[in-house]
This record gives sequence, C-alpha cells and structure tokens, in this order.
Amino acid sequence: MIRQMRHEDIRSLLGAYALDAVDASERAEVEAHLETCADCRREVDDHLAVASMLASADDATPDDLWTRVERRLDLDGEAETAEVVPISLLRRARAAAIGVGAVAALLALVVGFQTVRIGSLDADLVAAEGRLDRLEGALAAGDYGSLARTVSADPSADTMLLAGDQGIAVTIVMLPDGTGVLVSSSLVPLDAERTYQLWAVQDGAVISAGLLGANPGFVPFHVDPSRLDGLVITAERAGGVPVSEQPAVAAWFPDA
Amino acid sequence: MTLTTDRLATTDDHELGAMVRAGRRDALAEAFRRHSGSVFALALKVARDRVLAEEVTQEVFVRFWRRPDAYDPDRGPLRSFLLSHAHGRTVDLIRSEAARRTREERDVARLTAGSGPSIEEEVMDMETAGHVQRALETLAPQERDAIRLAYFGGHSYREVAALLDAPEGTVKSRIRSGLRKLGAELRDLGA
Repeated sequence: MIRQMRHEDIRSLLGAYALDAVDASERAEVEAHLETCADCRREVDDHLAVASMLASADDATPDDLWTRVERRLDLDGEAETAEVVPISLLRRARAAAIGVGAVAALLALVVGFQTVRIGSLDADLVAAEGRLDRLEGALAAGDYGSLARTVSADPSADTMLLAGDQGIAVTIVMLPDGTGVLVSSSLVPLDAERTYQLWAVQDGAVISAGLLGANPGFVPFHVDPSRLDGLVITAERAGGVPVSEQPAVAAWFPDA
Repeated sequence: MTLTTDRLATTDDHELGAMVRAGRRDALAEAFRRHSGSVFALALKVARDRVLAEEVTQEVFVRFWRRPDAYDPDRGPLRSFLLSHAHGRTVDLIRSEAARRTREERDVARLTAGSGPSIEEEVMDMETAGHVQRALETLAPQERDAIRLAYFGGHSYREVAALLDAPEGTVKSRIRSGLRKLGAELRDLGA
C-alpha cells in the first residue's frame, strides 16, 4: 500500500520532471524510481518527445560553434596526457588516507603542501575586487552574457580543464590577474544542503577560492595567479568549510 | 566543419549513436549538423541569452561525445535526447537566485499585462507548428500557461504555482495532463 502511494506520488511528478520543473531531491527520487519502473519510464519518454516537438523551432548556430566544440574535445585529449599524473596520484592518496580524508591533507601528502585556513586574502585580491565587483554585478543582474564576455573575450585569458572521475570535466576561464569564471561543468547537481567548493593550491597552501553552489552555472572567483599551483573542487555542506575533509571531485594542475 | 559524407547523412540514430560510441568524430559532426540548430534555438528561447545558449550547445555535444552511452536509441530519437539535455542544462544555469528574481519579475509583468509570446508563438517550426498548434488548442488555458512557464520560462512547478497563484498539486497535474493530451493529439494528427 505504501509502495503504491509512493509510486503514485512519483507519477504525479512525471510531467514536471520531463520539463525540468522539479527540484534536485525530487529529480533524484524520480530517477531512482525510473530505474525500476518501465511504465513511468515510458511516460517520461512520451513527455520528452512532446516537449521536443514544442521546441521544434530551428535557429542558425553561430558559424564557429562546431570549431569551438572540436577545440574542447581536443582540450580533453590534452587533459588526458597533462593531468593523468596528478589525478591518479590524488586517487591513490585518497585510498591510502581513508579515515583522514581531507583533500587538504591529501594534497599535503601528495605534493608536500601545508594547509592554511581561509582568510589569508592578499593584496592582489583586493586590487582585483573592482573587476570582480563588475563580474558579480553582471551575475547579480542575471547578465550571463556580459559576465562570460568580459572574461572569455579577453585574448589573454587562459582556459583550464579540471578533470575528475567518470568523465567529470569543469572548464574555467581565467584572466592574467587571476579573475576567473567557471564557464561550464558536468558536475552532478547536489541537494540543497550541499555545495561545490573551489580550492586554489598556492605557495604550499590550499585556500578556498569560493563556493560554486549545488549546481554550478557561471561562477566568478579570484585567485593569485602568480602563485597558482593547482585548482581543486570538492563537495561540501551548504555554506562551505574553511578546510575540506572531502576527496577531490575534479582537479587541475599545470604541467608537472 | 568536418567533412560529412553522403553515407553519414543518411545514417539513422541507432547507427550514429554506435559510431559516436566507437569514437568517430565525423559521426558527432553529423549529429551536430542535424541537431545543433534546434538545440541552440531551445537554449536561446529558454535562456534569452546568446552566449549562454552557445555555451549550452557546445556542452550538449561535448557531453554526448564523452558519455555516448547515456543515449539509448530504444527510448527515443537522438533529437529528443539532445534537446532534453539542452533544456535541463539551460534551466540549471539560469536558475540562480538573482536570475530567478529577474525572470519572475519579467514573467509577472507579462502575465499581468497579458502580453508576451503565447506558447503557440513560441513554436515556430513550419513543418510541425501546424500540428502542435492544433494540439495546443485542445488544452485548457491553465494547462498551456503551466507548460509554457515551466518549459520556456525554465520555472519549477512550485514557481509556476506561485506565478499563477494556484496550488502546487494542481500545477503538477496540469503539466502532466497537458503533456499527455498533447501527446495523444499529436499522435492522432500523425505528427
């Protein structure tokens, strides 16, 4: 009886689910149910087919969009060769450090860094606050175009790919002054009680570079570029933590 | 764009999916040629921002390349799969607090003024627009509003309920019943 009600509760959500109009926890519940219920799976597939007809308008894509896709695929290839070493080291260290488990501690184990607490913001950060304010202003206004353009359009900007297990990839674009924007990610959305957190490895320290939210979109941040030895993302409780006790979800290190 | 051969141009979704799984980049290029226009149009319609729509379009095809197994041809056409991912990702990106406030203000203004594009106007493809419009006419206005705000507005059903001043359960039902009616109508119309 309880099982039946549960099934009906989920059924009532299938339309909203197909239109991405449910929250993260409902989405997780529906998806778990779909694994075992062929009837509901069929209904969702039908809804998705209807939605794809509503979206039947076609638009000319920008000329260079395929080239940009290819560039990103090429970047994947580079990431496989450039980042295999540190990521595999992280994984091995994670296995060795079960029970300790702090990404900061792991990094200390792996590369001999010492952890420090959040709050060691330096003069460079203050100097870049004006720029960050403008980016955040654009973000607050929901003006993603302006936000992404400011950084992506800058010819001096670097693209960094943070790679993780199971094909997780996070793309970050960063200006020479250390102002960065997370521009895309395949991170799995977290529930509302958790958040992704970005960490900068600099000068032997692991410093929080900001919270990315439970389901990162475009997120601006700032790090000191002259001392940047790596970037790491972890999943934390909402509000973030000063020192992580979680394994790395994705990481980037410059060529070793 | 990568050279597309005549053979690839006539490959069906099953085979195209298998070729992408086998690491054939020309197969991905063919999928892009066929579907990037509608993926981009949907992302643009929901996000109302070109840069974001371009970003989503790239991401949809990059992810298809990285995780081709996520596409199961037995569950529906490739187009439907790619559009579903594009919609989900666009909604994820625009659903930040700040952006939500802006959109809600805009949508409230539209609802109040009774202006803004109707769901019929949102559907523009000439080939299927006729079928879709006829099917849409069979829906109750409340069902159309709920689907439009959720799908093209990128709102959750709870937000839709607040916007329409209707109970959440009612909105959930309207979305589901509306989609089922549309599906039945479109099947009858042979779309």
